[in-house]
Amino acid sequence: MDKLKFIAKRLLLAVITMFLISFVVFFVIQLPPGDFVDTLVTNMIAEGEKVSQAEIAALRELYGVDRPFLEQYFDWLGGILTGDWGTSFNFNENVLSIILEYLGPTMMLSIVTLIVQYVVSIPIGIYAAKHQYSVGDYALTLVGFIGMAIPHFLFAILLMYISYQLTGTAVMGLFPEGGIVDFASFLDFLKRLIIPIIVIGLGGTCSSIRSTRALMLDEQTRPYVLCTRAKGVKESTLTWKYELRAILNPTVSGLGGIIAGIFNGSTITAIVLLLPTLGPILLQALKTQDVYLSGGILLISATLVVIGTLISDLLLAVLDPRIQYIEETK
Amino acid sequence: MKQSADPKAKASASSLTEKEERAAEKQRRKEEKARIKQEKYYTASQWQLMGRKLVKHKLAMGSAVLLIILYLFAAFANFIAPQGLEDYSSSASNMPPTPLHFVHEGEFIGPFIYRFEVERDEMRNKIFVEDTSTPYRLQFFVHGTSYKLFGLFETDLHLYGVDNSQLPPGQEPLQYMPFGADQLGRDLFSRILIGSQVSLTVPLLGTIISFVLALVIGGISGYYGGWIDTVIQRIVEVLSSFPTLPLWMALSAAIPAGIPVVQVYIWITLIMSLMGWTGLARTVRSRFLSLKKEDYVMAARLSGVSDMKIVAKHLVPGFMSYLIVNLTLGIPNMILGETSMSFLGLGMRAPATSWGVLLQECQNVSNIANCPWKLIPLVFVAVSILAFNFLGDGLRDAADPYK
Amino acid sequence: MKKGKRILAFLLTAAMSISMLAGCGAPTQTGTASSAAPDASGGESGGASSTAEVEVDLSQKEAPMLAEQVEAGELPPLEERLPVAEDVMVEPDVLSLGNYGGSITARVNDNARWNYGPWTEQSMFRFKSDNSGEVEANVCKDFYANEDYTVWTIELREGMKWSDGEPFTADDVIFYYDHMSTPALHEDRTAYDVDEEGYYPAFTSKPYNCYQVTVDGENYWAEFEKVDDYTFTVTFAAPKPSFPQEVAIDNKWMFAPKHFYVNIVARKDGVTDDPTFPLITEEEALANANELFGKDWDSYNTMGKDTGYYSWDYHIIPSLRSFIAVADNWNKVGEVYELVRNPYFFKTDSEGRQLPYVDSLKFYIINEEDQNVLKLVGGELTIGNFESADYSTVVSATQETHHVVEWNTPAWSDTNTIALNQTVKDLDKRALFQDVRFREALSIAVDRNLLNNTISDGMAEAVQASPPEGALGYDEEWRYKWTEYDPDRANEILDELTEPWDRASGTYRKMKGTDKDLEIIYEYKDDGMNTEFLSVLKSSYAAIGVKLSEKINPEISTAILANEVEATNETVATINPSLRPDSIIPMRNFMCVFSAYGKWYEDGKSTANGGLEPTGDMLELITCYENIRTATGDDREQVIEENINRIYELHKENVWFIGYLSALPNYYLVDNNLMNFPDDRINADEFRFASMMRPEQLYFADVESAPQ
Repeated sequence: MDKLKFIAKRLLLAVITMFLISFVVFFVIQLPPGDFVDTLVTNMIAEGEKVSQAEIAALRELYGVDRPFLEQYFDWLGGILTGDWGTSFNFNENVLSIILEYLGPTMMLSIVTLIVQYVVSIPIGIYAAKHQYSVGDYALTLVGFIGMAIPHFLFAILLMYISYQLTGTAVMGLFPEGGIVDFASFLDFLKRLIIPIIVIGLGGTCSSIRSTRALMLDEQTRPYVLCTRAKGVKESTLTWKYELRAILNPTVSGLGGIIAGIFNGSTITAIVLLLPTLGPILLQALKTQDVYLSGGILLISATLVVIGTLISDLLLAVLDPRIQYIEETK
Repeated sequence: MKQSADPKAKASASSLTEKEERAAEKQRRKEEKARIKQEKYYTASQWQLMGRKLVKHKLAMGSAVLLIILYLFAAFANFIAPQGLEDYSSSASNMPPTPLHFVHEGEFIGPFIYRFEVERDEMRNKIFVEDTSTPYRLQFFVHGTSYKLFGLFETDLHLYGVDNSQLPPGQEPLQYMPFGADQLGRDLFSRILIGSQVSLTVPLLGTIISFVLALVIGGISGYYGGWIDTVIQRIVEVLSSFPTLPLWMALSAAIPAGIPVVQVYIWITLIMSLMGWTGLARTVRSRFLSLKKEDYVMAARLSGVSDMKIVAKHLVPGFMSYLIVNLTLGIPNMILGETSMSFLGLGMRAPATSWGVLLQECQNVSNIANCPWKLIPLVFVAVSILAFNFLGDGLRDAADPYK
Repeated sequence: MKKGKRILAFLLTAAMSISMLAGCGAPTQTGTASSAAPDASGGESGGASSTAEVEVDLSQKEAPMLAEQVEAGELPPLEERLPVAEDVMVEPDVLSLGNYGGSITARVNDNARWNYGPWTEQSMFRFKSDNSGEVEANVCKDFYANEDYTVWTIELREGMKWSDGEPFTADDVIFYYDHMSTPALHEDRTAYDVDEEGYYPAFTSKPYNCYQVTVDGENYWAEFEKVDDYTFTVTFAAPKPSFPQEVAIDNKWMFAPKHFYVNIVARKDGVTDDPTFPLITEEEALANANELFGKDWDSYNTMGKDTGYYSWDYHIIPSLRSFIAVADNWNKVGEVYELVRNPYFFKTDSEGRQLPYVDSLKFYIINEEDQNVLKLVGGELTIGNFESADYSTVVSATQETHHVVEWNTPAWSDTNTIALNQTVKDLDKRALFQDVRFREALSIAVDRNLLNNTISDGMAEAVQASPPEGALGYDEEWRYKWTEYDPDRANEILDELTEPWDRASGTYRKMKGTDKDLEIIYEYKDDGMNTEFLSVLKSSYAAIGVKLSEKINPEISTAILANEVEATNETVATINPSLRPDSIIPMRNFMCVFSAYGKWYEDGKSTANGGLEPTGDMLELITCYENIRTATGDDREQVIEENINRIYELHKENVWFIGYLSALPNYYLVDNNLMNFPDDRINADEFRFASMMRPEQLYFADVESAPQ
């Protein structure tokens, strides 16, 4: 019963946070000066048209960007709640259908990267901790930090250039021309996944290796570890069954942020690598002040953060009974 | 074991002759010294202990020395660098690292360089051909571009370089460029040095602010719990899902033209650190949540130890490694954050420079293919990050009470 | 640079002769198409591949892919798809006869309408490929004016079809003009004002100057009249001798498929009994469009804007273009936008074989220059474009398979310029900016050789912003005016214009009689600014005590409208000021230099809405422009020439646009397997850029190994 109450309370809080966030999102995207009509007027002038102030005012009314902020916000929010996310000024299509089109590849890439990140970093981190100050530890540290020292943009270009040097054509884009239709094109797709995963995941993997290593080192010298070891428990059992739990807590509690990080942080990478994800769409929408589109995308990514945090809170309570107790007695 | 030596010595001293007494006195003094030393060890604060252990950590010390050198270089950058940021040169544009010579026409004349003739092949590849007729000697303490040392003393003295003051009119100044030149013909080494003034300071500041915020706010949230925790956690959630991209765009539009670039950069870093503490704060909170119900914390609380002390003495050391690693990991993010800021028009503006600017400049295919030396700033970023990290490792080991 | 002279030289003589307009579109142009002999122009570079001996199967009169469809009964035979025999356009610009097949791969960015449009577009009249500045008939068969240029008659091609097989007639032109292009008009053919009862905006982009004449300060719209299915007349209230040229620049596609648009254009004149254009309301039109296109346009106006003039590349809209899109994915970065041959295309080569030769155009939609360079070095593009900074990278990697073709541009300078707002709001600054000596100081304060050797790799020339050699208006004195690097002289000049300055580094001059730093706020749009140039410019100006502060402003266009931009990097690239005057005459409010002056003229010479009345040389620019516009008599030719010369003279004296380096040519990287790529064309907006390569006549020597 307590557990249910806790979950219900947590869900309610998440909903309240979402409202708060939706307001912040809509407010912040309106912060940059100008609106979509400015973009439109710029294009019209480029096309050689004369635009008068009266016409600009008429356009503002047409696109509804001249209304007071709160009116626009509640209009937008009302639409979101009833499933109408508005029409993108740029694409003249329903925002939700645009987002859904790109959400698939975005989520796929994020999740694959996340999995690869953990699968790679946790064993390496444990190895580095178990063999502290060994050659392997130093080598991994070196590689990790050089990886972190390269900006995504530069790293992506470097890898594309290397792929050109090796194969004669630079790998870019996520899906092969014509889509995934057979096994050969699937293999091509997998090949294309390599560079994005490396570029997007490298920073996270490196810091995750460092964190895991540090947490394991903290755990190594705990009395219970000494005791367990003294009792003759196998080292591998000790590592994987007992010590590993220590890294779960920080890893899990950072989940929301990590999801958001991959979701947002890959924008520049996606632009450089020609990936069909939401990042470049978002950047373009922000630049052209396509508010419903950018607002929709940001709301989705914020939702992911909130869901991630929610999951991590619930998971933490499951994984660490002490926390559950505290949360429940709060 | 040494502990038991003390009373023994005291007991035997009473039944000895004068001579022996003197010897014993000597011995006693010696032992007294050892005891004081010993006592010092026991009464030493945790920080003193850490310091001692740190000194023994070779890699950490090596890193510390390296960092000190880097910071000294940054402090004296304008003096050590043979060039300023505006010494453009049309003949040195995209020139590879200058070879240093010692022997001219069979004669050893100390370090010197030759002037280069620029040619182009039919594919417009630049070919630099050394003109070996005149050697230009490298000298110490030459006069060059004037600058203000520490922003105070106006001088034109540089540690080393080719003295261009005696050049005949019409000849373009030349310089020894160990790391080659950029597109505007400036010495990359000089730019790296001057860039380090920004890149080694501002990001560090930003990281520390973030770190302190995370520790304090996350700590309060986790330690006190209750409604404080609920409120703080909602703030964290809102902040961590805060759309930064439009925020930066709004900022870049809001900054008036003509404001000094470094000032802009500092403000941006401040805002970045105000936004960036949330992840670590959540971790700190969850660790506190689980640790505060440990028996030893309970015991401390029951015996009336103040909250602050419990946190500082009992909770924080419990995951010191993680904190230090987090601190060192934050630095590269802050240094590199600037390159993505420039993507949005918020970075440093030319001719001011930083490592982020240098990395930004080299990131295109033609540079990677034709001017790989422009990637050298990457080495500096990596080395300084590594140094911070190894120092952090040393600190971690030193902070570990079980070692 | 020598080549530039040769190519542009044509312009000098020919572009002056606007008087020849009436005759230049004569039917002889199309009627007696010269035999498409192999490339006679034989340029110095890139010509090698064009002259290769290729065996051509002349028995094939249409592409095999179309022949198959005819065979299968999916498509009418060739004769039924082409206009009647005597009205078929035998493309005079076919350099050599070619084979059918293959695909051309190229790159565009996602703002693609500007980029891929010229590859396929077919305008009513087009500029000739000889760079003469004359226009010739293209979609139409012939055009001519009456004695006093008030009535133009345009003849269309009988039997010509839209890409869906429907006939193309005079109705399509008149429908476009009356119902899509013009706003609501009074009886006397003046337009309703925005706030006037009965105002009705145009369906597409607004109509252009080419359909208006000015009489006593009042603008009158031309009237279109159908003579028969293949003939119509355009009648003006006053002589309009430059009508074809203006159309070729302003409103190239003055026609729309009526049978398609009747479903989505709301009839505004209230006529109910026209069976070919039934009356529908805006709501119905919008609903129809949303269903047809699968879109969610919110309003009739946005729909009109998005399906009209610049936007009729939705693949479901029938068109006359040489290639037709397969899908509407031009703005999906990372995808391939493919256009396939139009089976109803109205042009053939001299052997009566239908164009285009290649099956399709495939555009990689790429925004980042680095991705483009990687595509180029990988040899993935048949025709590529690159920047001079990447020359050696690209050319070294592809020397076995590709060659470079350079097209010159009429641009006055490269994009590294500074243009000072002559009507800047700060009056102290305005006094300085208007002072020609100040502009001289800014010009000579910069070392152009340094700039050239660093940012242009030594390939440009140290010049002033002015028409390049060979172009109309070229003046050697102007070209090199104030180009000598002389910071001492610049300081001397400024000493007279500002408060005394002690030249201490880090300090700036104070403006005369004030305590304010002499600061120029230089604004630019985020993309395309050369930071190296900015760095040198800042340092150079600082050395003469002028502070240059930069500001990235994505909304710079609207800021200029509001006269809020002090200085920017404007460039001029006009072929003839009488045809496209708005970048060098203060007649529109979109150039930073002219800001409030342009506003004044645009508002009908009124200062009511922030306009500023020009004086002196600025005013004379306007006078010259008006003289050109109203010149109609026998001495018309002479009046125009005199006024054009005067316009250039005024610009030469004032140097309102300060440039530092000459513009580099446009570099094309062309696959050696691709034939007929012309090497002597000019890259200009008026000439429609890539359109000048006449893409429909390009073909592959070895079709087997071409991209499919």
